[in-house]
Amino acid sequence: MAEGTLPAAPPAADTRWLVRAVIARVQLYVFIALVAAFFALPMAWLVLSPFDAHPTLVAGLAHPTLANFADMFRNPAVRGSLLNSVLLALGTMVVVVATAALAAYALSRVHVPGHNVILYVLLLFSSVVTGSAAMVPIFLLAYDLHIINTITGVVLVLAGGLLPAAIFILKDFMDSTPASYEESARVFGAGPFQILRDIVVPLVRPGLAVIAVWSMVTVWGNFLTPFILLRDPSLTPASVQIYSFYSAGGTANLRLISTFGLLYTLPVVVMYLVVQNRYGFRFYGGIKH
Amino acid sequence: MAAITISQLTKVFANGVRALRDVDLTIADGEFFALLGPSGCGKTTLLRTIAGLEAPNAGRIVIGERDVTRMPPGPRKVAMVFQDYALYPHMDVTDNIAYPLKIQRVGRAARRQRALETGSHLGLAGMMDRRPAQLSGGQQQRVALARAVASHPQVFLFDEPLSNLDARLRMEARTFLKRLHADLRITTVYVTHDQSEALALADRMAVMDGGVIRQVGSPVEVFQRPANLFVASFIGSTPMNLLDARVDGGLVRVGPDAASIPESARGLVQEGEPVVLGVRPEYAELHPQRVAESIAARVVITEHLGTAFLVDLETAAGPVQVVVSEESPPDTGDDVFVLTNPQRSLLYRRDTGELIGPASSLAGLATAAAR
Repeated sequence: MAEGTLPAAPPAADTRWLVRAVIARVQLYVFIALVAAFFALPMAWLVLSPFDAHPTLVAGLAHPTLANFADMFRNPAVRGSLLNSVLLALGTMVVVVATAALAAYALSRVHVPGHNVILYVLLLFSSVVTGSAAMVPIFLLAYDLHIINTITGVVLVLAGGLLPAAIFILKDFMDSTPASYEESARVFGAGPFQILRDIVVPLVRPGLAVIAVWSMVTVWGNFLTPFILLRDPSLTPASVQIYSFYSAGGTANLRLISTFGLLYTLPVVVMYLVVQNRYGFRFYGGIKH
Repeated sequence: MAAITISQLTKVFANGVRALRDVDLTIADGEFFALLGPSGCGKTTLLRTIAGLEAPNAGRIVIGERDVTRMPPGPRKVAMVFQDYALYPHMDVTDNIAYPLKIQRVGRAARRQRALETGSHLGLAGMMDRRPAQLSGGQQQRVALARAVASHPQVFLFDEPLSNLDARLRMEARTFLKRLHADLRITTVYVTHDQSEALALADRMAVMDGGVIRQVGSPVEVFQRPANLFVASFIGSTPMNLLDARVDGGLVRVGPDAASIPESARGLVQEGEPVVLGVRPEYAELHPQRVAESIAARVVITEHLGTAFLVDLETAAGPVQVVVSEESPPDTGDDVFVLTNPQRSLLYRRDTGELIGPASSLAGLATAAAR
């Protein structure tokens, strides 16, 4: 062996090292494949089963058909529940965005002593309001206010739960818009609502979009509140409707559940893509310092 | 077009800071008036109080014939240009300039027309549909000006409008502002911490410190006869030399040496009175030999200023700076004698810091220069 060259490893050790590396790689890929399958298989089932005439718990397309969709749309309860979900989502979104924008603007501009404490306490309570712990008082409150069994009631309760977080996020956006924008508008004679409409809202539009989509998606998937507050089957939203796709014997109707599940998922995916495209889920305030 | 009268104006912020203390000020119709002072002196607060963005705790503000003290900003008919311009990033140049008109409920076509006219007048014709982010600093500044002009105000309020521009653009913008004011003759209040802007632009100016106006006058008056030691040390590109001295038999004794009594203070001081002698570096001469009443000094350092030299000297009474012409800079370590010009040097009372003699003995000259 010449001076200065690295001593070559003995052949046996070299092979062992190689084998160990290959085995480690294989183990890693197997693990990743298992994890991927764990998440991908339900997705595959969700996408494939609605197009199968006799879906089972196995993901696959044994008998391809579109009849499931035709059947489903013939079912008036299904159409009604999707419409109810849209009403609930849009209604709550409008209430949350409008109220949160005004509240966040006020909290951002008027310095009430301890306004941060107010906000944090509200934020803390909001997780209680829509949580199961508060369901009995909320039910009683809704009953006494005669908004039980109405879309309005559900919208108000859901909006109440979403508002603190929405105000919190929007206030951050509003805080980052320089005061000189509004001051210059004030000097030109603009009133508070004019300033909000012409200056503040356009500047925090990405924040409003985030709040809007987030509240719609949350309401779309909420089960407990409408389940408790709505008694009339004609008012049931999609999230509760799925619950009724069982035969009298208690076995799941997989044709309906899978088809309905796919339809129920699509709006959320579409909303995500739209926001992703327009705003890229970046949190920015449109400010040049 | 309107004059502004401010009387007894006091502003105390919620945190207890007294930003304005009993400010009295009258700004004439059509005047270009500068508010000058170090940061935190209250000049911006005064401007914002005139605009209506801050409510005073006491005092009155009258614009034209109207008492606007309790009025919201809009009906005061003022236009303000902010330090950061406050251009709306989501609107193009036309909409930015037209926004005050939109608030005044001018129709869409009419306000676009007026925005275009004002914009063209200010050299923005080719960029009316750009967004502020697509404009250079100087262009943004002109859009902010155009927006103020388009609102047809009675008063312009400028809050350090040139401080975000680089040195070359600042000179251009300064000339531009002066021309705009000459065109429109609208009463203008201009806040700046840059004395060269105030001296160059203003018809009259006020120097503020600690919420109080320390001197009001034309730039020439303020430059030549600072009314007190604060203004004397604040105004001037090279600060005024202020030497502790004592009146002694028709002379001012500075350490072991003496200087002649400034002409404007003659007959107004008593023998032995402690005073401060104020001499601008530009108004003193250096001589290699003692001439008449002069102050012995040694050259510490010379700095080249372009057309002149600034000589740092050490005297028995403390450091002194003198500007000499470019032909004859002394060498470091030379012994020289400082001769003060009694027509230009000033005397202050050491206890009150007030100027001795009339505040505007050169008033005639000053107004002549301001025209």
